[in-house]
Amino acid sequence: MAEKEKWGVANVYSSFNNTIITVTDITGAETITQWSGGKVVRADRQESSPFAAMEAATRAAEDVKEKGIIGLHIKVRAPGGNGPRTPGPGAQATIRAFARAGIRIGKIEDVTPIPHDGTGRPGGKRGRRV
Amino acid sequence: MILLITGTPGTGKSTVAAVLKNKIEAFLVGVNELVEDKHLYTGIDENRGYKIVDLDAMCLELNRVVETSKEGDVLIVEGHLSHYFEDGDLVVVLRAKPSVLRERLKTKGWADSKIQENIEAEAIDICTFESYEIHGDNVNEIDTSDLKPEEVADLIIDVITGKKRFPVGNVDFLEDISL
Ligand SMILES: Nc1ncnc2c1ncn2[C@@H]1O[C@H](COP(=O)(O)OP(=O)(O)O)[C@@H](O)[C@H]1O
Ligand SMILES: [Mg+2]
Repeated sequence: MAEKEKWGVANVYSSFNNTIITVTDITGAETITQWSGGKVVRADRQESSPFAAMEAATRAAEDVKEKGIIGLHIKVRAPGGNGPRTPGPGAQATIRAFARAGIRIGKIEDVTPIPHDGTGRPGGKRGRRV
Repeated sequence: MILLITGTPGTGKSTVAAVLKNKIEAFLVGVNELVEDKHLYTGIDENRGYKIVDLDAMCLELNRVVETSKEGDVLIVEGHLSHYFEDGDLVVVLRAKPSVLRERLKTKGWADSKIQENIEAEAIDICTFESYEIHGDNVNEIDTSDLKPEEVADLIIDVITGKKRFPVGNVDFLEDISL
């Protein structure tokens, strides 16, 4: 019964060309599975990230379900720029692919890193839509 | 011509810009120094302790510098926020493999959490992505991992003269970061 309620954490790293998804147990101590979207055609860079991400998420979802995990909390690291701060296209595609695979989606957290030395840009990403 | 050199801290912007300046007799503005001199920050980031740069004020100040320059001058603007200056003609994002960047940053004596955050930022192309959103195809990214500062400066000269291009997307470090 406890088995049925098992949740995990999916760390989504989304870049210009690629997406890596690492699923851990709820404590973060044990890695359950890791998938990468792999390299994709540069010329299609607008398209590449979502496709790669969806592919990776679909594979990860299979592994996750096999382990009896029913839901995932998501931690997203994705570039978004200073405009409307939309995350990298890979992040949204990942979450959609998980949901489509029948995984329940819990808390979605944006933990996108900010480059900084002694200076940095305004953070303030709270409320960013993922 | 206004050349913006950006990239995650530790990728070599200050080092390379100094070499480049001498090679091509350019004028050099370090954004970090400018921000410090003119107090162009709005506060301190609570979690990380850095000075939060007032990007609008930074751009205004850079505009002032540009106005004092002459036709034909090459102005290098160097810093990890330089790409926010929309009036740049050409952008070079310096890149370094996360594993290489980690070693470079270790020499700066920073906290592990600060090094880790910069390395993750490098792995997911933050500076490239932001530059591309603002400057489109005027952006080049050069992988400095196996190069010397001198060699990087020469590649930038090739970009300026139109001999070479390093389009966005030619660098992919995501697999390098041990997740
Ligand atoms: N190819 C390279 N280009 C630039 N710096 C390099 C290179 N290889 C090693 N380094 C070293 O990396 C460090 C970069 O530091 P710095 O120039 O302060 O970076 P940034 O200004 O981007 O934060 C310097 O210690 C420099 O000697
Ligand atoms: Mg510097």
